[in-house]
Amino acid sequence: MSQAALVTILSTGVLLAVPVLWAALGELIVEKSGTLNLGVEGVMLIGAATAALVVKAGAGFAAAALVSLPVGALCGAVLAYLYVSRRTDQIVTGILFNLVALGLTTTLFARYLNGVGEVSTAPRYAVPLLSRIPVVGPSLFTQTPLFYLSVAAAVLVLLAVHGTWFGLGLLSAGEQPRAAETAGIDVIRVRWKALLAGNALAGLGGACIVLTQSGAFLPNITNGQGYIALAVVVLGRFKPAYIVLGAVFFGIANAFQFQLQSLPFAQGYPRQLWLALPYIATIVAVTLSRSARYPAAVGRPYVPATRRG
Amino acid sequence: MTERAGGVAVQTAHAGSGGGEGNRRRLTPPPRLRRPLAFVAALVIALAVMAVLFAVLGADPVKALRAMATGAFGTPYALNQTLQVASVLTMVAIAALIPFRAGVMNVGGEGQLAAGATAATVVVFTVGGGGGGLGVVLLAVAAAMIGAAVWAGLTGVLRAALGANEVIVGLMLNFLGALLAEWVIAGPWADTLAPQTRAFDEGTDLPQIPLLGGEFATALLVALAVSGLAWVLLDRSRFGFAVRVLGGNADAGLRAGISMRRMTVAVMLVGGAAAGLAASVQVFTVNHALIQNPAQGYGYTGIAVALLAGLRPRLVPLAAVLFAALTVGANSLPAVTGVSTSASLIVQGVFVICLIATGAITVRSRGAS
Repeated sequence: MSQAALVTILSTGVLLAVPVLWAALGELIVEKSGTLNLGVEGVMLIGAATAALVVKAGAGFAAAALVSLPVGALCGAVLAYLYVSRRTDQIVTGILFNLVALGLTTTLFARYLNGVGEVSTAPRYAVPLLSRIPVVGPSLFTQTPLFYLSVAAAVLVLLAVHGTWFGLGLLSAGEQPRAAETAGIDVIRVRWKALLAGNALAGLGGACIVLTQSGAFLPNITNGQGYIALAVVVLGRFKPAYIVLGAVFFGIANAFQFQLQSLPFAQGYPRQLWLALPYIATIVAVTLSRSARYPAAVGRPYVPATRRG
Repeated sequence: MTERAGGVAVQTAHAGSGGGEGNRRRLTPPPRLRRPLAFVAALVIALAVMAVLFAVLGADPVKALRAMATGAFGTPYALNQTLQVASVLTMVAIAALIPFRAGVMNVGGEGQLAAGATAATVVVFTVGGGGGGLGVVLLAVAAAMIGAAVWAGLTGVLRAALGANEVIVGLMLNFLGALLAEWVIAGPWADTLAPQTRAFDEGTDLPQIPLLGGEFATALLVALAVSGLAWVLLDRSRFGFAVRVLGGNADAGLRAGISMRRMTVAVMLVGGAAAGLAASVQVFTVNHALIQNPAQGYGYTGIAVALLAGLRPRLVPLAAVLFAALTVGANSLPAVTGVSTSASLIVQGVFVICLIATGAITVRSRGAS
């Protein structure tokens, strides 16, 4: 691979990693608190549609990204009511939520977004000096602000989870909810907060797809990126730094399909094989990372002792 | 990821009522009425959500609902189409239901349908040269069942042998199934105009039993047979007993002699075969070719149908007719109200979510890992 081709693949890979990274960071918070949120796919889809609607209404990229946060949190509230308060099965509820999200966004698309066409995507900013490093500069330091922010968010999530009282509550609710409650932590409240925050980030992740990649909303535009984010959390062993690496890995696996012309070795294989690469990589990743341990209480609804009469 | 012993537990609300849930002080209807009431309430909420959506989108909700009803049942053609979709949904729902009962979450129906449709198409073009009589069709049906079972079995094997999360693997295989179909479509049998393979030769059909002027009675009978078979298999056989043990619904002391791993693969293979049958019905009675994205979302709707039926095979055909009516009825929405057909997904999803949230249907999967 020539250096130019390598730079193209890397820089496209990092660009494509951004939505998955936001969603995976959100999902990390949620899973740390003891909830498995398959609905992340649907929340991303709703975030993407929101961003497209805001842009269509004439607002800028920043406004679109900002609006997707509370919309994602609103989805989180619906999911928290179901998962945490009603104690529904999390896998089944997540899948059904995604069905509703697909129906809702496709309906909105048909009514408001069909034929809007591609608008320009958010501009990239070159970081002074750093962007001039060969290969690394154009790949990592010539990206959209949403990428720089996502890396900063990874650091913040790390600090919040491991350095604050909120983080401690999160970890104890996800590992030993009964003990947490005995120690005075409101497990239900912690899980609600985690779902609000985590899905806000997932909504932003969905918005990134429209704002930094496609420039337009299409039905089911997420194409499984929410599910890939779930795999990235496991692959990243529930650590923000590894999750950044994992997201970039999937971004690069995803990048090949867009660069087939510039990669001579890629043209000997069917196009579908390159399209399949991220999904195959996900299967391999979840199979190999089975030793990564989920927080002990993930997926189990919690019945507070006070309500156990 | 540890090997866990739990599983899907399904029970009706009245079976579990009187348990120590602590809301005894609340005024609750008598146990026998709770479940039907929950169903009615859930349906009303789902329709209300849709009505609000229609109103927001500027369409007349009453007109829209009437259009859906007419579109699903209004003419013999519409009724025929509803029954055809119901047949496919019945079989896909059974494909999800059998593993669900064993606590294995088969969410890969979409990919299994695609793999089955692709396998059937490959047989028609390679063995039959693009068409053929009953022999070729039956061979293609068998290929569809094997293809879909392999697709499902892959998830089962990765789960059983390597402990991979069957939900994520199944979902990924859904996308890969669609790509597999796309790859075959792009091959030597491509149609010159549409993104699909050439249509099969005239007469490459399942044996026809006419009903309502269509050829779907065969599909209907096959679907009813599949749900009957699933009932016998789950409630009246040794296999069904092993499924209950795996699902944690039998005495733990009876686990001896049943291999959890082998059963995990077995339930996925059986489920996959049912999905393959659904795929061949779809291919031979509706599309007569391999189309892009052959599953069309039926894989996910099938999960909702299985849940709506409370994971009981006997109720699956009824649930399937209801969701088929919503799916087919929605086809007349764009012309009448300008609202997308996808609106029906919202009703279906909200309906089943409400049922689960009210406890009318109880599902417990094995959670993460």
